[in-house]
Amino acid sequence: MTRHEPRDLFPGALEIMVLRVLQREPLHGYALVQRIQQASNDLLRVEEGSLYPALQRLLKAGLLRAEWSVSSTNRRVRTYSLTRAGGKHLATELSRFEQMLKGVTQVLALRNV
Amino acid sequence: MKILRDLFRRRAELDDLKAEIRAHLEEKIASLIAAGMPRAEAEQAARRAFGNVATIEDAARDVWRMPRADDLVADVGFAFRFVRRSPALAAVAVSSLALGIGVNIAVFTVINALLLRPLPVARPGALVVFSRQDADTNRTNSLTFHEYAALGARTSSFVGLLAHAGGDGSLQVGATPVPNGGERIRFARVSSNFFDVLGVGMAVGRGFLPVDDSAADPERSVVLSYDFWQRRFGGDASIVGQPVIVFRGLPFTVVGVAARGFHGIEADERTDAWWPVGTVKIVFPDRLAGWNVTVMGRLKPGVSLAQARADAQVAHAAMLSDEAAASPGWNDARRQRFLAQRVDLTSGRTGIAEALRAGFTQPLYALMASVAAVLLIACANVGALLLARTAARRRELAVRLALGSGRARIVQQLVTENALLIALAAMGGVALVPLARGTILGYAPAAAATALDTTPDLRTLAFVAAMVFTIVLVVAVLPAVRSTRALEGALGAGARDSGGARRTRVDHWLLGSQVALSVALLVVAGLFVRTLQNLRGLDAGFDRATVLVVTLNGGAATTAIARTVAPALETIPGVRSATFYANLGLLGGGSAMSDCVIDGTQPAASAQVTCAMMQVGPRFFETTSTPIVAGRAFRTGDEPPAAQVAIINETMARQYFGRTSPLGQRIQGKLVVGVARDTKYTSLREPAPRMLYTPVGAGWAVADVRFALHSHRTIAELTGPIKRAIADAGVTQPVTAIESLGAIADATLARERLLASLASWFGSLALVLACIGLYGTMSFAVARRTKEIGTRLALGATRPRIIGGLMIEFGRPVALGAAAGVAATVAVSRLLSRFLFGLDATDLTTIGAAVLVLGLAAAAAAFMPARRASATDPLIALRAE
Repeated sequence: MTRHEPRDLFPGALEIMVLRVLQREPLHGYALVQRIQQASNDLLRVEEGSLYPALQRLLKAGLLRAEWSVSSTNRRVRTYSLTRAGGKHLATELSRFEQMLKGVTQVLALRNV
Repeated sequence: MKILRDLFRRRAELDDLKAEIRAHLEEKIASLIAAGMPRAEAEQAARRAFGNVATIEDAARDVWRMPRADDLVADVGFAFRFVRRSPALAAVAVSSLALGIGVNIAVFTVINALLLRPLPVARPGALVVFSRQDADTNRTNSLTFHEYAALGARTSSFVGLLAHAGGDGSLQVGATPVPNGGERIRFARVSSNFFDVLGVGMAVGRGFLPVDDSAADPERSVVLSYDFWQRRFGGDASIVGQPVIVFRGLPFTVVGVAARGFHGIEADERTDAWWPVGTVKIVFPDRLAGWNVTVMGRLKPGVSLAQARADAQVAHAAMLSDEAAASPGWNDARRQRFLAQRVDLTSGRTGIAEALRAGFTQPLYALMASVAAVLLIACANVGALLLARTAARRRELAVRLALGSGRARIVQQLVTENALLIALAAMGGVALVPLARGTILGYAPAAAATALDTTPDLRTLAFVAAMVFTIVLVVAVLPAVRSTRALEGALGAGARDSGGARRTRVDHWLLGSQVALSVALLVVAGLFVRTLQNLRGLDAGFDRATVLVVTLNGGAATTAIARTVAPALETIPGVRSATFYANLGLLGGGSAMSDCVIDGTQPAASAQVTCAMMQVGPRFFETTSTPIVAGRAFRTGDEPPAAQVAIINETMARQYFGRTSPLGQRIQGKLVVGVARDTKYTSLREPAPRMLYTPVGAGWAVADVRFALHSHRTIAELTGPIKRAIADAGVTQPVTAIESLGAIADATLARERLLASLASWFGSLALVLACIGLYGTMSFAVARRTKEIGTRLALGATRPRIIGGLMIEFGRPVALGAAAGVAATVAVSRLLSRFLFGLDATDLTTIGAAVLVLGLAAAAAAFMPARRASATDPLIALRAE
C-alpha cells in the first residue's frame, strides 16, 4: 500500500475533528491523536504538537472540559470530554463544513467544455 | 468576570499542560518500545514526531494570554522600579501633587457643604427664601412675623410658607428648673406648619398641631432632633408626651422626634430642638408681630421662581401701602422709607446660612481659584519633570521602537509610570484632606465647623474624578504622546537633541506660567496680610484688651437681672467696673436702627435720619474705656421713665449739628447730655454709624444680655468667680459665653484671617513649587548641554561668564512670568479691592515685595545648577557621547 503524504489541514479542521471524536467518547491527548489517525485510515496525520494549543483554545472557549484520571495503561492522563456548548458548537460547525464541502465539490465537478 | 477567571486559571493550566505533554511523550515512547524499537531511538522518534516542546508550550500559553493586561502588569512593575531608582524625583512629584490634590478636595468639600449641598428634605429645589431690602441701608434683612403672616394671606404661588427663627440657648433635661443647670443648644422657633411645608416626617410622635401661630395660648410643646434625642435620651421613645424639657425657665412637653438626618434648615448649624413660634408670647407677650423670622416657601408645582417673586412683591407692596395709609402720623421721610422696602426671593434649595454665606462665598471661590492655581503649578512641575525624564530616555525608547515595539505600547508604558505617580499622589492628597479641611473650618464659627456636612457625596466624587482625570491627561498622557512623537529617527541622533529648540520653548513657557501664578498668589497674599494688619491695628474707639464680655440668657425681667448681676460682678477682686447692654453693637451680631430726628425739625424726604441705638447700663463708657469728649456720662437718676436723656457719638454730632454744640438739644424727645467718641458698632471695617446711647430703664427685655467687665485678669482666672458671683446673686439664667472683647472683635475678622493665612500659605507653596520647577528644568537643560558648556570652557570662557549666561537665559522667562503675574493681579484689582482695607489692590510696596521675594528665590534655585554646570571638566564633557 503506497502511503499518501499527510496533508496540511485547513484552519479549524483539527478542532472539528477533535470535537467529533470526543463526542463519541472522552479521550486523553495521545489517544486522541491515535484515534484521529486510525479513523482517517491514516490518510490524515495529526501534528502531535499542534494538538495541544488546539485543545487549550477549545478549553478556553468552554467547549471542552478536562480532568486528570488513570488510563488503561495505568498512566496519569488528562482526559477531555465535550461540554454542552461543545456539542452545540460541533453541530453548527458540521453543517457549515458540509455546506462548504458541497460547494467545493460542485466547483471541482465542473467539466471541461 | 471571565477575564478574571482566566487570569487565575492560566497558571494552573500551564502546569497541567507540562504534565500532559510529558505523559504524552512517555506513552508514545512506551508504544514504540513495545513495537520493538530500542529506548534511545524511541525517545528520539517520539520527540521528533511531537515537535519542539518549548515552542508548543509557548503556543499553548499564548492561548491564555491577555496582551493588554499582561503588558499593564509589566508596566506597573517598571513604574515601581522607576520610583525606587529616582526616589527624589518621585518624592517631589508625588508630594507636590498630593498637596495640590489635598487642598483642592478640602476647599471643595467646604464649598460643597456651605453652598451646594441641598437640604435633606423632599424636593428641596421647590423651596425659596424671602429677604427684605431696605432702601436706605441697602442691607438684606429677614422679615418680621407680621410680614410672614401677611404674605401667607396675600400670595397664591406657594404650597405653604414657613417661618423660622434660630438661636443659641440653654436647655435643661428634667421636669423642673435647676439653677445654673442646662446645656447649650441650637434651637429654632418655627411656624406650626414647618415640618409639613418641608416634608420632613417624624421618627417618633407627631409634629406641631396645625394651629394659628398668633393665637393667645401657644402649644407648650417641643420637637427634638433625632441626634439630640439619641444623645440625651438614648433613643427612649417613652419620653414622647412627657414634660422633660425646661427652656427659659418653663417646662415643655416633647411631642415628637424629627426624622433621622434632618438637622434643620440652617446649613451652618445643627438644630437640636424646635419650638412653635407662638412660644415667643410666653416670654414676651407683645413681641411676636415684630419678631425677626426667616421666611421660606414651597412653590406650587409649575410656578417659577420669577412668577413667585412677582407675586410676593405685589403682595408685600400692597401690605405696605395699606399700613402706611393706616398711619397718618408718619412724616414723609418715614413714609417713603417704609414704602421703599422690597422683598426678594432666592432659591432655598441649600437652606440658609446668611451670615456665613455673605462673608465667605466669594473668599471660598477665591480660595478655590488659588488652590487650583497651586495644583496647576504642581502639574506643570510634574509634567516638566516627567517630560525631562522621558527625553533622557529617548535613546532607550528609540531602540525599542526600532526593535518593533508599537508606539502605542510605549505610550502605554509611559502613561502607566506617570499614572502610578498620580495614584500615589492622589492617595497622599486624600490623606491630607481632613487636616486641610480642619484648617479652613478653624476660621469659621465653632458651631459651623461641626455642623457643616462635609461627608463625601456624589458631587464630591464627581469633582475628584474630574480633577484626577485632568491631572492624568495633563501630567501623564500628553507628555507621553508628545515625547514619543518625535522619537522616530532619534536613534541616530544619539544624545543630541533634535527637537531641542521646541523643547526649550515648552520648558520656558511652563516655567513662565508657574512664575506668573506664584507671583499673583504672593501679591494677593501680601495684600490680605496687610489688610488684616490694618484692621487689627485700627482704633476701634473702645479698649479691646481689658474688657471681658459675659453673655447671659435674659427674658421678660432683664432689667432686674442686669441690675442684680452687674453689682455682683463688681465685687469680684480685680474687676474695676461692670456694665450691661443688649447683644446689639460693640461688635455684637445684630444692629438696632431707629429714627433719630431733632425735635422741632421736619427732615427732607431724602435725608438720612436713622441712627444706631444702644441701651446701656451704668458705667458703660468707663468700663469700655470710651472717652466722653463733651458733656458728661450717664449717672444715677438718668434712667427712663424718670428722665429722658441721651448721649450721641461724634459722627452724629458732626452730621446733625456741625460746629454748634449738641448739648442741650433734644432728639426724639431725649435731651443730649454728652458726646462720646466714635466706636465701631457691628463691624471693624465699617466706619462708626450715627449712634445714640440711652440708659437702660425699667421694663427692658432682651433675649440675651451682655455684661462687660473692666479687668486686667484673664478669662481663665475670672470664669469661676464670675459664675459663682452670678449664682450667689440668686440669678438662675445660664451663662452662655465668656469672651474678651478682643476675641469678639477678632471673630468679626474671620474672613480676613482666613484669606490672609491661607493666601500666605498657598503663596509660599506656589513659590516653593515654582522654584523646584525652575531648579528641575534648569538642571535638566544644563545636563543636556554638558558638551556645549564644555566646549565653551575649553575655548576659554570663564566660570562666572557661564553662570551669568545661564542665569540670564533662564531669567528671561522668570521675568516675563513675574510681569504677567503682576498684570494678572492688576486685572482683577477691582474684584480684590472689596476684600481689602486700608490699601489698594495695586499697592506698589506689596507688589514690589512679592516680586523681590520671587526674584531672590528664583535666583537661588537657578544658581545651583548653573554653578554645577560651570564646574564641568571640559575634557570629560567633550568625551561624553
